[in-house]
Amino acid sequence: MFTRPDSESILEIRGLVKRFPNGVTALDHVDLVMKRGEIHAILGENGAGKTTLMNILFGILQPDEGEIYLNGEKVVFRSPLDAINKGIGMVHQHRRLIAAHTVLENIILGHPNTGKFIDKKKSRKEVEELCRRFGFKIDLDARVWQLSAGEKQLVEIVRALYRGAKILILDEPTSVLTPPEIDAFLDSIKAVSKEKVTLVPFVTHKLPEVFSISHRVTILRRGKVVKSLSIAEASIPKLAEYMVGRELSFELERVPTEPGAEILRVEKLSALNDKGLVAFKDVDFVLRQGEIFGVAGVTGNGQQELAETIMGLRKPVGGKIYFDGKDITKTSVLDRLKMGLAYIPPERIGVAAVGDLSLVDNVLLMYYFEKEMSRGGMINYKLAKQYTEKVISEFNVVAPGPTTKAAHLSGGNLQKLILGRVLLKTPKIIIANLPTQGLDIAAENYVRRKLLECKQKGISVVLISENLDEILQLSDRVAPIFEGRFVDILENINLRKEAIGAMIAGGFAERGVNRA
Amino acid sequence: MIEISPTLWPFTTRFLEVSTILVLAAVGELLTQRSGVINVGIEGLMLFGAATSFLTAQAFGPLWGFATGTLVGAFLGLFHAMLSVSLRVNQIISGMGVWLFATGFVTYWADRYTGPLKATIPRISGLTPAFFIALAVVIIIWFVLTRTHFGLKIRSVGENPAAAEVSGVNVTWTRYFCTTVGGALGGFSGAVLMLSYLGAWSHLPTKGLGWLAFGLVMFSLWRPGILLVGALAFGFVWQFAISPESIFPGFPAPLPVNRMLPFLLTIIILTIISTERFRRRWALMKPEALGQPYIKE
Repeated sequence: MFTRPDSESILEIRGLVKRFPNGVTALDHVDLVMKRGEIHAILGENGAGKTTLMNILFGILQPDEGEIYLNGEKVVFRSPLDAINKGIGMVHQHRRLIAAHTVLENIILGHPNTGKFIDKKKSRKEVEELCRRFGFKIDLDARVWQLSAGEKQLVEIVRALYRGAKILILDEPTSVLTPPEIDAFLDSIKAVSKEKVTLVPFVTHKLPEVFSISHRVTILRRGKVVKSLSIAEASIPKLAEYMVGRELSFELERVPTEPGAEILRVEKLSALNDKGLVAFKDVDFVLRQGEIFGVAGVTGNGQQELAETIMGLRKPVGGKIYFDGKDITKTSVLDRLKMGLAYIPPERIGVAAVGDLSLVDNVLLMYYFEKEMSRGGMINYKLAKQYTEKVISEFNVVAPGPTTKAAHLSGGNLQKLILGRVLLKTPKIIIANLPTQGLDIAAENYVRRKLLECKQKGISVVLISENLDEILQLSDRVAPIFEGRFVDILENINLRKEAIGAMIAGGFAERGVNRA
Repeated sequence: MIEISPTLWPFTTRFLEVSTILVLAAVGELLTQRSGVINVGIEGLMLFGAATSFLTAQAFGPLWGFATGTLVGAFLGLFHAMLSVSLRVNQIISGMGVWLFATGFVTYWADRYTGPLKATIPRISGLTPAFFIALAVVIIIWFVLTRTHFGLKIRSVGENPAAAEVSGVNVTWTRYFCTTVGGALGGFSGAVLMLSYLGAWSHLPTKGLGWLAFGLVMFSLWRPGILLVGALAFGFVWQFAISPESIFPGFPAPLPVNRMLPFLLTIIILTIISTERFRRRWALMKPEALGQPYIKE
């Protein structure tokens, strides 16, 4: 299935050390050898030194000690341009593309051999030729903002290849992709590696995908290479263990619960998306006390809008929402919060938390309306601070202190804080939208465990996720959503992942039964 | 029956001259903004350009006036680039600072020489030669922005400097360049106002033309072509407000009311393009990183 990588090495790293001014040793004598045409995954948790290594390879940072050899020749990269000129390309996790420009403009931007004037015909021919060789399909005249996450990634890959990249660094390549896009991405990766281009994906989570394509895996932990092994010798639990340094309890136990009283009822609910098109239509379901209701689906099938509508952030165009038997369709967001609805949005910075505000202020955002938090219109900061400290200690948030800015927290710690500020006041319903997206394994596990613990406290959870393992692991009932409709609502007993996978991909759309 | 006034041609040359002044200042600002830097101090640039050119022209002749006016504009542009790109000062505040400084300094510096110019510049059948320069500048800037790699780099820096940087574009240099050239055009525009249009120094001669040029950039959706058309329209309104009788003999409204027209029009147009329908389009055209300093990781 794979082409075999050559035995000759293309990139060699010897004794790389990087210390930061704050005394942290991000890389501690790292040695690595990459072969031509190899897919060499680098695994590590947040803070393992992956980003530092990546930035050194791409010339953004300079190492304190150690050498990099390219084709046996010692090289020093002082800037990204040096690295690009030596044939190193980078595909960023947060896409470095210009949204308002066309795909072609993005690909040719900064290319050295283009002369002064833009010769669109010539560059178009060259890029088209390149795409044909690799079997890529992209519309070169589309504007980048119109593209999906997967297409944007492909543009970045093509841009790097067009500049003659022989080594392609991929930062968390699958973290923002939907399942079908991941398949397409894996195919393109294989096509690229066939052309003797070395690929270096850096990964913190989504191990199975890496597993399916790599030839070799190197695991980083706390700035050191823990292990470098060929894929034949590896297994997923073993890799995870190397990454985290202890055996992980992957097994979460879902205690089946007796269905409690009805707490939320959604009847024939419909709403539009931001573009004014139908996001979801005639959605019916009932949420019972102490259950986890899993909404499984590929992002963009209306689940985001559904969550927003239930929270009151989006106006429905039809239908009713009942909370505890009371019609709350027209109730304000604030009143819903006071009633005990809580929302965990997928955008941690920007929607869930304000990056430039301190942790105290961010916790206050969910509490400012509580009586004890204010004294005659003034914020009771003493209490707010105590409360934040409680969230930090009870939910194991690693943060210098309650006055730290939210933007300085890692994704996992921020999510713990967001979860903690909601759970500490015991809401009645939590709507968790992609709660583990982009988290490392340990944090992901933590969030899932906390959601399961909610059940014991009688808190109901609407879990929106595109990770089917997560859905099946946590949910009591599963509603696969496709193009704004629930394909079905199923009890999570002996459910097969493949069956749900087919439903969210539209395979069962013709059935279209909506059972409450 | 409409009677064509004998003053129509002189009126036309006058309004084209106002358009020239607007276009020069605005297209410079357009270039600056396309690179992601906002310079609200155009009025100040023009005041400095006008004062410097006036004083130099009195001493050495109009040609030197144009040269020093442009140079002082370029220097102020460079200064703004230093503040906003290197020191990452709030760009609005820094631009406002240039404008406020200019009103004070220029009054102190040039008001004591209030009076007409000694020498005037030659005209082409009544039209200022600067009109043709302005046309050429618009075409050049349009060409550079849309047809060259350098233009692509400028646009990229204005949209997403981080993305430009990883493609090997020098963000700092590009922004310095555009802001300096934009400043030079602002200064030149002030020189044209003084040496060609007014021909005499009086207290704060720009009278809001710089602000009009600033509004024009927004109105143009950052496109040189639309900017040119907009400048022609605003130039007409400006001149009409000054001498409506040259088109409509006996135009009723008194002068101060007329002088409000261009600004009233600006507010109306900006209100219209802020409506939902236009805003979508506007937001799409606006350089994404406009006014944001770029901080390397």
